[in-house]
Amino acid sequence: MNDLLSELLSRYLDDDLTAAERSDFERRLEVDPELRAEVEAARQLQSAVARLAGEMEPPIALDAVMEPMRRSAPARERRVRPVYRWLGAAAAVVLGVTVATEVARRNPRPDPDRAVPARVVHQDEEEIFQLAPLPSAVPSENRPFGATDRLREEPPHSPEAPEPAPLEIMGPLPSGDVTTESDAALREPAHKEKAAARKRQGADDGTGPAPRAAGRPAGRVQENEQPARQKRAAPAHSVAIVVDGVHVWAGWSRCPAEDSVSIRIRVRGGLVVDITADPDADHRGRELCLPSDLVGSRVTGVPDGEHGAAIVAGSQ
Amino acid sequence: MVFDEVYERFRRPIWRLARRLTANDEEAFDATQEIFLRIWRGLSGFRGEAKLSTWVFQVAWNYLRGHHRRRGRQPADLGAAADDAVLRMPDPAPGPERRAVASDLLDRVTAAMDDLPEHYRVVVWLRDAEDLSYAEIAEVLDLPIGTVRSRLARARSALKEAVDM
Repeated sequence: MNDLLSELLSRYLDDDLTAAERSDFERRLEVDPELRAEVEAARQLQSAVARLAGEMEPPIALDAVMEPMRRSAPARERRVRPVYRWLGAAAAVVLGVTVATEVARRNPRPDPDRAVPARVVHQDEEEIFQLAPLPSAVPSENRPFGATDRLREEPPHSPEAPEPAPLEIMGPLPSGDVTTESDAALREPAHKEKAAARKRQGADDGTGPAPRAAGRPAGRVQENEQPARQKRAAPAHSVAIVVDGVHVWAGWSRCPAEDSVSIRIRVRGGLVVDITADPDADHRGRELCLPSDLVGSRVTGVPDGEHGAAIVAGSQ
Repeated sequence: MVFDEVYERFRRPIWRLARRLTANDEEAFDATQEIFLRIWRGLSGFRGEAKLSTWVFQVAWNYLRGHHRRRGRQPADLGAAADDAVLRMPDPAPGPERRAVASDLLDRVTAAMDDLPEHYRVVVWLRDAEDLSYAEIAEVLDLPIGTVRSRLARARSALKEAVDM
């Protein structure tokens, strides 16, 4: 079949022919059994592709991983005309110079108590997710994750504690990071990095940080120096958390570098699990089994927004 | 438009397109997340000049195009698959082993689709699986509509030949 006839046939299937083209093609069909067979085969193929699509279902884990994005609205970008941007910048410079001059006049000597802290601590940039069984949790025999990694040490749980401290999930982290809570580098998604940068900018130019969004749960996060933007080709890793055989969390993350990944999980402030990869390790499918009394604990996490990975827990 | 609604409406189509244009479920899983992240970021700037479906597929195609070239086309790693979350899910795209013994038309179509060049695969998929019109496909792929017509015809011929119908 030549290209022209092939295209006519294809357009005939999609009802894209003009009335004249259609009439010609149908006259030809009547006298050409071979063409009729071609049309029939093409129709079968078309319906097979449609059936194939109908049978393709996304994995259950996708909904879980997408949950944080579904529950939050993207930051709207302010559209500012360039001229106003320049005017704003000029006004900020004038204001800054004025304030600095006034401060210098009133405080001629440096005050050690007013030293700028080396590390900024933000209280309101963290997502908190409820740790509870996923509604769509799959039976244990069909669980998507294979290997099991038991807790290495579980901090003693005080039953009289009014509310469990957050279960924190952090990572991935750069290679060689110190595994202490104070030095753990937390990664934030790209949109949060931008928000934090805007906030820092606001603090620098005296406008102060934006107020916390109403209704957002309080969390704690230490903001350290952000690791450099990672290259996109890094391998993916996944972690699942299982409470009493039920998946409550599944997340995927990108390694910050080809040869390292570190995922840390803390329960009640104590380091529980610290997975640090070596170049040959494959941490895909790592499963972390936690005691059932953690159901209802808060989970704090830092999604890797750059690559679409997320820290997720079931919401019920 | 709320992201949650967009996700609900397009989670299947985007997963399907990602799966068709990537080498295995793991890559499709990553790609789907990345595409929705881009949609999430761009949704506030969506002004409705195009149909939402066209815009969503454009975002997807812009991410997925050349994916095989970038990542290197490889069949699913069945060894790693044992520990892989998504590869435990029902596999709509058989690997080479299943392909060899596939007698069912659907299996043969799946295998043949995977063997088509990317620019053929996407046009057939958008038309026959996602039911986009020629004009919508032209917009998504940023092609003249005449090119869509001729490319779709050639893609269908190639698919038919590969399926051996």
